[in-house]
Amino acid sequence: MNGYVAAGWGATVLIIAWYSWRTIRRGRVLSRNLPDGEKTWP
Amino acid sequence: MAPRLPAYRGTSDRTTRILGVTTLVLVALTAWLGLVVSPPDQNQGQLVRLIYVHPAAATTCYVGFGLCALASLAYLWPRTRSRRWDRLAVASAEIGVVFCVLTLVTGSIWGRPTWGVWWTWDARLTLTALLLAVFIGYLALRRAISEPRTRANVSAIVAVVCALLVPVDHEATTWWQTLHQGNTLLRPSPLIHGWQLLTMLLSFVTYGFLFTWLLVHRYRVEILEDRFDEEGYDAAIAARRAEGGVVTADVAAPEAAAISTEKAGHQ
Repeated sequence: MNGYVAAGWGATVLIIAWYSWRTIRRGRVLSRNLPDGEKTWP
Repeated sequence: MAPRLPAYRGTSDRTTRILGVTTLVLVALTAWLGLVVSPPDQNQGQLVRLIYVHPAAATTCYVGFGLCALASLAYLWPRTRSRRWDRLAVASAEIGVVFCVLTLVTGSIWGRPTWGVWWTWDARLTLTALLLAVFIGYLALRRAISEPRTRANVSAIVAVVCALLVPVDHEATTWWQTLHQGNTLLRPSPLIHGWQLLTMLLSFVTYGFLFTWLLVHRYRVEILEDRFDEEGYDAAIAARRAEGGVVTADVAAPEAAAISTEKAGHQ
């Protein structure tokens, strides 16, 4: 495979995977610290 | 009735899991068609495989910024004003920034072997970089203002102004002489056919699902952050009252009620 193609697809996967992981982790950390009575969506 | 949110599941629920699995299947299908099935191009050779990641990223970035502007307008409009629109605006703007970075990175990787340079001050490229800069500024502005209502009002106006760049950026290849190629699909006779056309169209669908999945998660993160912000705000007011030691319980009660009413109206 062409090196530029590999770099383009690789960068795409890395950036999207990093942002997805970061967003989901933020949600998990925040929801874990909520008081028990507030663990519902408004 | 609000659905339960178990702490260990964070922002996920059944809908996001179905959406996530569908997105993963579509990503795998796009990769298989784009890297294996689709033939090399007569002019671009193997580099054509980059058009299965680059144009869809650019379109998704426009969608993110456009949705941010629409949600901001809905927030500014008195009849539809709701904190929900502000949350949607910041969630879609942040995702738009990620896809804008992706657009510039993949475009640069495609440009090096095609044009011979990683970057050139072409109208389309420059406007996309400017779009990224202004929306990073939008996100920075939101962090600089702590009072929720002021932050929502100011950032909504800024978002609407910044999003005016989106149609200008999109039409840059039509309005000015640019090195960047013009529209491939949005013309009476598309420039690509067969597997190339099919894979490119599929990439737009895949990015659409990816954007939606990310948006749901990011929107829910914003809800959670709001709860902590509100708690922090209440705690700060209580601390100031305790610090002053002037306000008695009889006076504080109506004040607290007024703050609660104001917040309820803002929701």
